[in-house]
Amino acid sequence: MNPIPFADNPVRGKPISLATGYVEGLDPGQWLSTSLEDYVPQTSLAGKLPDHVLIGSSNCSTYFHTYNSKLRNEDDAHCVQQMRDGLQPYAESGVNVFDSLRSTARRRATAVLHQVRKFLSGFCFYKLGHHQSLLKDPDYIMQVAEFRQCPVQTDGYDCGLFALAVVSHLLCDKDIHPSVFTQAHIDTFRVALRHGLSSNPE
Amino acid sequence: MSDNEKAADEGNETITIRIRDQTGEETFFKIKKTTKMQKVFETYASRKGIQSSSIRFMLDGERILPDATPKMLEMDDQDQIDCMLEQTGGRSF
Repeated sequence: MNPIPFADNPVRGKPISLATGYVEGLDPGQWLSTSLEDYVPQTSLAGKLPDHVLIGSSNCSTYFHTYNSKLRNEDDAHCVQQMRDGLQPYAESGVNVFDSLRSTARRRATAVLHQVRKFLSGFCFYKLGHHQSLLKDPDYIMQVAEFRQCPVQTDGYDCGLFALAVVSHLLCDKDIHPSVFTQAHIDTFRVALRHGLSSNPE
Repeated sequence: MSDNEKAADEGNETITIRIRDQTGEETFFKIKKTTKMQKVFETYASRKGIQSSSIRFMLDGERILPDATPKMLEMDDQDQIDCMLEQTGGRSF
């Protein structure tokens, strides 16, 4: 069976078309739509993403929640089985978690991380002996998924751009640390991306 | 039955599919196996009063393209599609 793109990975997933008005999400102080946030890596990173780098869709919080809820529903057994088969190849990968909101919203980050852990355990690592350990021990995820230090945003609307910046740095084999880029770089990045997408969407 | 008749018969075959939203609410559509999913998505969005571009439709964890048909997706009667509303990123909780 062919692998399923991990959490609707935009780079290896199906094409995204950008609806009119999405670029306005790059105006100062605006939140990016998840379509825009996925469109940028899809158009700029296609064919450049190394096999060992897995990224999920920027909509993946909803994705994890939706599919994790199927794990406890017998009516969804067929869907769960299909997904387990398609997600097995990712059990061989290590997982690094970069979260630009971590220091400002620890409780929320923990809730998201719990959904990630449940998804890995229920789908990707299901056939491995230690998959239950992921759920029983909250710290166990550190053995397969490492919570890495990364730059932290100072506002409430830039996490999409921080995510794009981290992916760009990973592709250049740059080490990610808290000061590898700053909020000021992201402010500049927002303006440049807005200009670039307005003048040439491709 | 000739090959042409068989193909026509398969094209006319209808199935009922379910679209489930994030709250668990299901909406049913009876469609031909050759109907493009875009038609289903637009009808669904219209019924719900939202833009079709603001929803993602997934089958067994994979996004469905608007040009796909139930036949291409190997869908059976009563199969379920999950729909997820687009989010806006960057919010501080």
